[in-house]
Amino acid sequence: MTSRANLGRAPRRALAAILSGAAAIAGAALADETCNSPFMSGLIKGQEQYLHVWTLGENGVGDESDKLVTIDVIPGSKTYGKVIHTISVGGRGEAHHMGFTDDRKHLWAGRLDDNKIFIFDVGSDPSTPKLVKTIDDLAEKTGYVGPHTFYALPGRMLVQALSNKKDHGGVTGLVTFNNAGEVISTTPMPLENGGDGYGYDIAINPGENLLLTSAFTGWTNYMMDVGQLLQDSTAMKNFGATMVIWDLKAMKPEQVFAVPGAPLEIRWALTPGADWAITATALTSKLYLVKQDAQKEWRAKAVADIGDPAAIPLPVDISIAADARSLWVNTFSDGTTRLFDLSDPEAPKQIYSKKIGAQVNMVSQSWDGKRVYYTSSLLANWDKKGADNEQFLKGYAWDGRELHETFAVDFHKEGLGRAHHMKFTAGAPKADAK
Amino acid sequence: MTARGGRKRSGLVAAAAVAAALVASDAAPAAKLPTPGTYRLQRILPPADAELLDAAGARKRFSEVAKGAITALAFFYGQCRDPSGCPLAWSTFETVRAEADADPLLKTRLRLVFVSLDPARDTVPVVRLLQEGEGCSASVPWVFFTAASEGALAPLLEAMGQAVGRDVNAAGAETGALNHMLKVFLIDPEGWAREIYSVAYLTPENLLNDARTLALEFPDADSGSKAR
Repeated sequence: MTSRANLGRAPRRALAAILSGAAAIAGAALADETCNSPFMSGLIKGQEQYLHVWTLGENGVGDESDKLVTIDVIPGSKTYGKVIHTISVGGRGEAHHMGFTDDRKHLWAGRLDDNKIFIFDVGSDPSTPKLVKTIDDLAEKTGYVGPHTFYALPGRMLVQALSNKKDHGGVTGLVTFNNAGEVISTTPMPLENGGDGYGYDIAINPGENLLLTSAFTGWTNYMMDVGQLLQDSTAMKNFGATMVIWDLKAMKPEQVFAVPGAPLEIRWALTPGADWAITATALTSKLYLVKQDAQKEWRAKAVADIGDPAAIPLPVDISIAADARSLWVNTFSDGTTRLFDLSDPEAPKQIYSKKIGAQVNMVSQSWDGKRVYYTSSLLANWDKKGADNEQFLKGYAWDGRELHETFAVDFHKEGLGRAHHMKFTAGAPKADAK
Repeated sequence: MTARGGRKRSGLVAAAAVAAALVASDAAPAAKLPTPGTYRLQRILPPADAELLDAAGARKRFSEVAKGAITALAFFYGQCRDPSGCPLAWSTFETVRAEADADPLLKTRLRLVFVSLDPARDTVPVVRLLQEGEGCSASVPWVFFTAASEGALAPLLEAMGQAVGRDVNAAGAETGALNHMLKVFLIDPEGWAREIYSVAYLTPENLLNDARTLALEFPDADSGSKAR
């Protein structure tokens, strides 16, 4: 096996001096706010300062364009909880998710309908993001459409698409870009050994050289009016029912798990040595655990119901605590957030719930878990209609027992649109921040 | 000059030792990596170039330095004390070199390159000290470079996506530290960056596995060590 460096050459006194200041730095580098890529730098362990919301333009609301909205979340600031900047990108293309590059200097934001990817500079001045590049040839270059998840690799961005340009179904693939925005490889989702070819989220465990993916549905379904979709028995069969574990280095699928009901966001436990991941299924309302069994074989198994599955609460986003002991789970249909105790990941238990609004989709928590943010929009054609189409960002303080609202931004009153994915920034991040 | 450079070298080596100790004590289980040659590394970045200065003060194009060999490239600066920064790259390279020296596949094909981010302080005499200490005792060459100026180095940093900023304290005064995200680049004999490692992925095992994969893809790769 590989040996480590020769320690004997280090002067003892210098070693001791450096050690005294170094220990706190070392272990912190492997994770970011709890849902981000482990390859990202610039961990915000303290107070986030700005919250960016990728927002869908909406007919009759403001300029009707998709936009990146920036909110000041600095406690005590005169503009705390207020919109301080917006940048419209033109048109409506089903704005959806975002992801930082590895150095956290740029934020990639995708649209599921017209497949455009917008790259914003958030490193120069995060209070005022600037659009620096638009990628508008994804379908032509790769055959895939619906850029969904943006996941930083060193020097690259791994993008999970949801669909394909040939039939707009759920068979799709992964696209790797370099940080300059050039496509460097495509990888089809597996159709063999139980694979259904669908995709949704990406989650990497670098220590195990493992990539996990989940599965949602294709363009035809996610762009369909949800009322029509629910009545279409054929369309309802076109949802993903698998998760795939990959050899990350080789980008080769190694094992396909049957996970019925569209498994969505995936979160690896971030505590050292806790090599398990959890996901929620949208249509079957269950939490699934991905973990090795006693024989060291990876398995996926249902470990808890989310609400009453018969009522179709429609679990959407989840957010795991940094210590992996709890998990926020939003259910869109009833506008409720639920906290699960994950101290035994084999048997999660709901310990708290609160109605956030008529509908709720995304949830993001600070590293310390003391602040939790919610947004409302799922997909333009799946959001509720009429008065129930509330569009908001709400901030809460979590004291361990109760969520206390600290601010709310009404995205309709502010003329913004449908509030979707959130990302944090904090000041001008250092290039090397660990 | 020598004493000043010597302090720099011993400081970096000491920090590298700390990095190695911390990594070793906190190490995750070795990742289950695929067998070398059974996977293909992506062509991530095209060949990059800049004019550098070697330990003798001679001008060298980076493209010429990397040409023909499998190159592991790291950027460093001599006063870096962050154990998860330059010293981690240093300790990783030491281990990689020891392993590669004993590996017929890598012994004559792999080259290690350190390029300073700090041309103003890491002058040619400083780089010479580093070269004398690390560059001559093994088959796998480990070569050190600086540049005539930040401007001369800039094209290489920009092409590799290696941002650098000067650290400042709360009063806005420069601390002397350079903020940069640790990245190590594995470059093929044609100059393409084929893998990039940041802290979460930088292990000797990972780098060696990928270097062996490139060695199998480029059996004619030559680090120049045969001629030494």
